[in-house]
Amino acid sequence: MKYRYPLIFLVGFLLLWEAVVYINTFPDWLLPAPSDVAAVLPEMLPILLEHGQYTLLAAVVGFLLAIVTALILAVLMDVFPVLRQGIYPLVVVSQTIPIISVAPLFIIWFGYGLLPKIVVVVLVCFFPVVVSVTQGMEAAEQDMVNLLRVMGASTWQIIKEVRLPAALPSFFAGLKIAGTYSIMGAVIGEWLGSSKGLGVFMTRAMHSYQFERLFSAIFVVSLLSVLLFLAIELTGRLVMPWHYKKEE
Amino acid sequence: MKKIQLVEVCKKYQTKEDTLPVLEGISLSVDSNQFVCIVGPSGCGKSTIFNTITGLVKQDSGRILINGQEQADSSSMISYMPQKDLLLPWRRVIDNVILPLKLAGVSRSEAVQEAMELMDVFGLKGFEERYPSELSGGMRQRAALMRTILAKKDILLLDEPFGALDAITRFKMQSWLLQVWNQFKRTILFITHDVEEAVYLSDKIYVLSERPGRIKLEQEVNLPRPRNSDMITGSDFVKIKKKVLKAIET
Repeated sequence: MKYRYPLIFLVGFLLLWEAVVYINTFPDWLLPAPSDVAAVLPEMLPILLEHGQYTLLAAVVGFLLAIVTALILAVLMDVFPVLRQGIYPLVVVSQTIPIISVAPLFIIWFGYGLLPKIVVVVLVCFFPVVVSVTQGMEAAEQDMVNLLRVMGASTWQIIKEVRLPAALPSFFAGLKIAGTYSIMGAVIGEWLGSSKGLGVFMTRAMHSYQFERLFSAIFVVSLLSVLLFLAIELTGRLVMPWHYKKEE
Repeated sequence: MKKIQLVEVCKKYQTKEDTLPVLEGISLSVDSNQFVCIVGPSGCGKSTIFNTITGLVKQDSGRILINGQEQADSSSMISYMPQKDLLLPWRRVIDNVILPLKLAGVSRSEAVQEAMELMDVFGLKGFEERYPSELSGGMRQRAALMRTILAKKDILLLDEPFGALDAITRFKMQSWLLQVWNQFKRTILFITHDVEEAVYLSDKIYVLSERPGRIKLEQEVNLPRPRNSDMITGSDFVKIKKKVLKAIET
């Protein structure tokens, strides 16, 4: 069982946390014990799931949009080296702009609905995906590309048969990073202004010092991220059985 | 009829510091349905010869005639098998071998049907649905050769196809290649650094010098066909082998 050791350490950490809360003298509300969080969780769960829907929707839509745009850009950069040379460095540099500082603008531009959250998610997810696909496509064996060229393959056939499949393992590695970012991106979007979503729930809990509620929301955020991660892993196994066979 | 003809082909590679001459006036010819080997030490530009024939690399001077003409695009006449098997890891064996047919626009079902009939000949029956990573080295090489032959081109360029195999597997593959060649009758230009392999397989041998590559010897191999393993120790075989070895040494 490969999950045994992570589980042992997780339980150990929670016990330690519990102990610290009981031994310490600071007020209980400042840091709720895991057992306190667990106690409010069943009662909070319906409302958390209600909010979670919106967060998940923004995250998944944004994530998918990011994947589509990243794939299109990666293919275009592969076909037209000028784009690769001109755009790729800018994409990298754009990562130095802190999303959190421009996100309030999206609220002003796009209102309080779903759209600004989706935009934040797309911006956070786009980078890891585009980088992983581009690097994966570049890593395709040149000899393989040459061989197909000698077979008379067109540029598009070479992309379809060699470059994109060769990029899949790297692409899925990027997806796993982007997938976990996507929930976080949606929550950040909701923090800045929204009427629904886990981010809103968290800010409300925060402002009323109900920290055990805050932690129960954090729990749900983590849970959603883990589920998304597992979904990506599963899709990866379905899409590239050859990659996993090689590892076994 | 001459299928492939190289006339005084020269090629230099430009490096940062200086120019590196790779081929110096290579002239050779391969007749229709002939099996011709190029033998030479490693790094003598053998693969560059293939790259100029396929058009991946443009020669600096000299002419390359295929079917008696200089070709702008030779991909319709030539099928090339590189040193590495270069099977696509993400395609099953069956989809790997039909790749050239699929690229040419043949429907998958038609291509599969054609390939299935040949699986036995290539010793891949029962392995159609496996991924390349699940095959042995010899099987991968056979799959690569099957892909090369299924492309249905007149001319096969084989670049040290058995170089990575152990001696026993290699010998089996050589005998098997001769059978396959006998069955499919194509023009083959074959690169190797193994003199015995060259004598055993070919009708004619070109010996290449160290870089820059020049033709040092053109040797006809008039041994009867079909060839068998007894011939290897025969006096005619040994005589040719000695001559080729001597040309390599000097």
